[in-house]
Amino acid sequence: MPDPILDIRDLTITARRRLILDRVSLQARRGQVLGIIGPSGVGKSTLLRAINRMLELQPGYRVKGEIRFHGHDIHDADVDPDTLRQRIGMIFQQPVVFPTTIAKNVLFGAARLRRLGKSERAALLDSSLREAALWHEVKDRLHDSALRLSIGQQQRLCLARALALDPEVILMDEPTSALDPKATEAIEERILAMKATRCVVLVTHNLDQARRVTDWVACLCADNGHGELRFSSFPRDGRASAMLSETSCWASSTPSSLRLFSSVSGGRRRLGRIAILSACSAG
Amino acid sequence: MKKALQLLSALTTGSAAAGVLLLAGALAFVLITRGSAAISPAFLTQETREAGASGGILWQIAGTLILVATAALVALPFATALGITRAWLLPPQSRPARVLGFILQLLNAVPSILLGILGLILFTGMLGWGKSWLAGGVLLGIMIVPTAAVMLANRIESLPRGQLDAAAGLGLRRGHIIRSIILPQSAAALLSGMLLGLARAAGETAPILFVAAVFSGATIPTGIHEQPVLALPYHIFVLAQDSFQEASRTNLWGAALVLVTLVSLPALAAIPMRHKLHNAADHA
Ligand SMILES: Nc1ncnc2c1ncn2[C@@H]1O[C@H](COP(=O)(O)OP(=O)(O)OP(=O)(O)O)[C@@H](O)[C@H]1O
Ligand SMILES: [Mg+2]
Repeated sequence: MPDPILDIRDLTITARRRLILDRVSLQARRGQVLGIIGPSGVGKSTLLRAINRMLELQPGYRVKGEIRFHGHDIHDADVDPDTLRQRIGMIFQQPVVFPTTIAKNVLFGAARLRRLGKSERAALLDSSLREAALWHEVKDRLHDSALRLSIGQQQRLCLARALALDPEVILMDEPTSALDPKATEAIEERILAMKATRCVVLVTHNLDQARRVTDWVACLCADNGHGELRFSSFPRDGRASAMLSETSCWASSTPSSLRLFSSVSGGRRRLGRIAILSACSAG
Repeated sequence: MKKALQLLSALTTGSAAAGVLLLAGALAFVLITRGSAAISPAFLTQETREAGASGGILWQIAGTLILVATAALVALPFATALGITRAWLLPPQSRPARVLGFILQLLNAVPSILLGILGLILFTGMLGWGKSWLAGGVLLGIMIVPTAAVMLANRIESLPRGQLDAAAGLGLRRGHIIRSIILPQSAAALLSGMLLGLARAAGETAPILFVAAVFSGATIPTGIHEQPVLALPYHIFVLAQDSFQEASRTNLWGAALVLVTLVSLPALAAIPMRHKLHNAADHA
């Protein structure tokens, strides 16, 4: 097995004295999709934001333990967080497009971080949009406002924007939870295509999605009021399926997240539950 | 009970609005009825004669424009830097951010006559500028900074968090984020703050009284040292104090009318521009 690109060791995160994640250790390799699942509020987003040091943009967080990127701790003094974020891209739950044209959105990072000639711009636009499977839909309106794209297209635009920086790692925080099934399928297909050259870390609530696209899955649980790694395994492994379906992991979520069950993400949650039940009966 | 409260609040709001409208209307009425007799092309293009009893206010208009333009140029970079620092560079709600907010409030509360005296000590005395347009412009600029900085900071705080996160997630540096996200989307607020401040500063007499304005004998400055200007508010101030002639009275109101028009024109012009800027930004 190749050396891990990301090697997380005993990562402990506190926010204003409150323990959020306790000694989480994980590895992610090139050519691999690492899935992270767990109940709402367990600290999945916090974990992702620690990996590209976005966490430190907000006050109050303390991070202990190591996150090694190619063997180097990202918290070392000689690591520049901005450069790190260029190499570790991030896709958010809600697509965020900038109020400008499609082309300018794709090159939003790249054009500011490097000097790009005219032909380089065109080539980068082409390759990024193709890798995000958006090229054919937008090639005739590159200079239209990106705000007119559908949500699913906007999410792929965000992907293209991140890909334009040619990152080695892509962190995705529930990238499909705002999307319909067709748009979700498009993103999942992109994840599978991207992993040939990159390493993907995918946070998802959808167990079926985890089974479909991940190569290794880590389950975080909040049994003791803070996030801990419950187990990690092959997602399609029989034992893992049973574990994934083990409802205690979901049921032990914090009260605030239980409320979420029935409100905002109710629909999504129910889908998750049905997946659990069907897995149970299948096992 | 609830109905009564609603009625009460509607009545208060209504009467407050009516009061403000009435006041503004009365002011406009007085200004126009008393001042319009003085207004003529000659009044706007000639220099003052007979200590304000005849002639025009050309150099007072020019002087006020010079002071206001200087103030704007001085205030803009500081207001921008302080607003961005308060709202974004310093962690939100942190102690340094709150301290800076407090300092801006304090600065806003400094009486303008005090600024004038400080200017007298610093520019006229220590720097040896004598009476100079630059000293007046800088002092007026200082007056504008808190208004503009606070309006900018409030707008930045209300910007969608997601865009700032997304930009940071691309590895963009602070300077990039300021130029490509923060400034374009909050420029309209900065502009509003600047105009609001400028409109007030243009009419101020106290800060320019000792350091920049004279009543007569100045035109366009050609340097810094001992280069005062004439200014509309100072002109009005002197005429109001010293003139007992009917003609001077009329010219006083004429000058006031010109001053009010001068400061409200850019504010009016900015309304459609602000609208456009905000529309573009809020589509995010
Ligand atoms: N600044 C903070 N101060 C205190 N607690 C915080 C702070 N930020 C996050 N938390 C807490 O940390 C926990 C983890 O939050 P996080 O957003 O990472 O969860 P998540 O697993 O991504 O949840 P979801 O599935 O709903 O997105 C939550 O319980 C949250 O309340
Ligand atoms: Mg989350």
